[in-house]
Amino acid sequence: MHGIRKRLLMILLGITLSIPLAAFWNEKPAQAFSPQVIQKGATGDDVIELQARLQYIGFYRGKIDGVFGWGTYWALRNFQQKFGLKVDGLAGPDTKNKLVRVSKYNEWYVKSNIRKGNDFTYYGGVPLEKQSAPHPKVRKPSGKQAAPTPNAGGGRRQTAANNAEGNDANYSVNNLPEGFSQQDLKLLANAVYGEARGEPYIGQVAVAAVILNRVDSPIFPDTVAGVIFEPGAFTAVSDGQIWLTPNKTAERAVIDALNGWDPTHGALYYFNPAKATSAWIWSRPQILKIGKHIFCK
Amino acid sequence: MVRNVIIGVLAVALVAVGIWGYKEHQDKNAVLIHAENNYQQAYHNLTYYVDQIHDHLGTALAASSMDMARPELSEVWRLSSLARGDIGQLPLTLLPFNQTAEFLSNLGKFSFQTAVRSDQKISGEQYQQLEALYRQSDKIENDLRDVQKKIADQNMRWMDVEMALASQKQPMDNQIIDGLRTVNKKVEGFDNKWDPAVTRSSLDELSKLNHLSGKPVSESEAAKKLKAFVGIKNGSAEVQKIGKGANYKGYTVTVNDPKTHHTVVASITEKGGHVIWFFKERPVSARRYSLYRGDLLAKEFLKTHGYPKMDLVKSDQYDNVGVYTYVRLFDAVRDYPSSVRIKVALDNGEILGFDQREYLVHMSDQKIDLKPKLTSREAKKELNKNMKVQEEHLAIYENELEQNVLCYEYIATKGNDTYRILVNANTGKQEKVELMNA
Repeated sequence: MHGIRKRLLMILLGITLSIPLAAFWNEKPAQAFSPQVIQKGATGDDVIELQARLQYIGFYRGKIDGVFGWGTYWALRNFQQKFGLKVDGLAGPDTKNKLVRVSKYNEWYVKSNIRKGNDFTYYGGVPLEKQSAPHPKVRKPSGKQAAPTPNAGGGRRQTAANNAEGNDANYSVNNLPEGFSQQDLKLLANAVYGEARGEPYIGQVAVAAVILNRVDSPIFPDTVAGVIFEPGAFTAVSDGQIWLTPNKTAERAVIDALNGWDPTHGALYYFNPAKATSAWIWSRPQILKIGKHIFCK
Repeated sequence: MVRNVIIGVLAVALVAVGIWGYKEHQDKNAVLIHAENNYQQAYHNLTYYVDQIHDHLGTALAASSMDMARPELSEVWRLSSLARGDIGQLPLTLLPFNQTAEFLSNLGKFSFQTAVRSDQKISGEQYQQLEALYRQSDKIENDLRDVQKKIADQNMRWMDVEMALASQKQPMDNQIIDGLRTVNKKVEGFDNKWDPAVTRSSLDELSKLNHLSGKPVSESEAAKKLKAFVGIKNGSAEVQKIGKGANYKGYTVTVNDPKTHHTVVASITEKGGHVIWFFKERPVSARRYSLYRGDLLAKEFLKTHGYPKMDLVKSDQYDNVGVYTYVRLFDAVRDYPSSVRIKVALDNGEILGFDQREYLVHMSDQKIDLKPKLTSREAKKELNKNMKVQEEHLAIYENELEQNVLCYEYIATKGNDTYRILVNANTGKQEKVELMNA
């Protein structure tokens, strides 16, 4: 009787002790990569792990941000070369197994630093507390800080339940068509939302495409901001509706337009025929009508 | 007594409202003056810059050698960019002033190419063009100065221009507007033969879509072509003919998939009924496919639609969507101008978007010789010594003069940066250096 109670107590003690430990040292192989093949351009948890592991053994010197860019690509190729694997820049089963064997991954440390927006690294053999510092511009980490950009969406999902091919937290915000910054995207999304939020999706892509066509055109300013803020160019700018908070649809429309989809066939102007009274705008050669807007050259 | 109190209260209220109203009026005036000052500044700057452009063109013409003219032309390039910036600050969007902006843009590019790019002497042709530009800029300068004088003499306000353009009372009776229209009319009359390198725009080449293979298709045939392409059997289609503003003839087709109730929007060329692009709009749920598997699915799509061998050159993941760019392969040579872009939903692997505009446009390109005259070792000598070449391919690249040239493509690193460098495989000239961000 006495013995059983003592054993029970020991087990309970063991469990309570192991819970925080498990949370802190998530290095069991079971926690390693999902089965997906990771390729350049990918985003998410697997990429974070890949970058962290490559950094741990000194191949990757860039920021651990969950976006598989060129820096990660070269690091991975160098790793493959050093360890006699096929050098293809793809993290397939062989590469991942080798990587898991020769490196460590402290998921809790890496993820919590990303969440807090800290400046941090994850090199093996250097004490972790020396590798992490709050980003100078980041305020005290609060609940809100966890979602630093509009794209991050409503809070991070716990990914444990997501047992499909690749569990994805949403770190894709930095992944933009080349030559455009996060702020350009935001400004475009604002303009699209202010101008065309009631329009069908294709109409929103069209508005974004017109702005980009103007940036390209010699008769308009050469920057996104220059085109959008040209006096009188967009009603949403004139009446302040551009400062409404855009939704995800507007952002997706902008990304599609930045990726080259142009439903307007090179239009430079559009107008709402119910409202536009300018004779000049009616005189422009028209291209097509999408939703309420007529697009023209 | 009560009456007096009421009168007193009302009097106080009246005074208060009066003071408040006056303050509001003052605030509004301050904002208006601020806006007006911005417009005035932009216009005065514009005239000043055009004035300076004229002067520098004149100096360039007088220069005894190209070396003397070069700095002057660089200055013209800089000033035309500033002048265009100021046009962008003025409320001229709804006013025909576009010819003037285009003139300044071409002038800038021409000066840049003459001054910075070309290593030879100024040719006779270029000299003549410079002379013409000198005369033309003089005309623009004078007209802009006229308007400036009117504004100053008659205390005219740009805010009135803005109001006139916004309210659209016809006919518009505003001297600034009239003056600027006159400028634009004159510029329209200028007869400049710009080099294609100056005026090139990606939109112009769309006219090549009129010369694709196949017979012209009707509206209903266009709808059928799209349905066959995306694999929708039934479903209602809506077809709109593309208007004159586009550079080619075609249709915009919208098809409703009766199975999924999602719509597919697409552009179909009239000639041959080729699908230029299509687009499916639907919410994408949680990701079940990797970016890598999306690539395989997109390649499968290309294969079933009868495309030749293509190479993935760029892949990106945005939320739960993968976007891939493929270029045509001639043996191992990447044909960069012939590209196709595919968007894959990573929840169920469906092809959400497809764009082969570039591929179709470059279908009729003249074939170039794919045997390089230089070896890669020789071409590499042209690279910066700090560059570490990581990957190399042979590639076809469309250069600034809209010519396809055979190049060695080097993906090289320097520090933490990655570059794409295209070295002409026949002449060793560096055609393009690109810093790769993503």
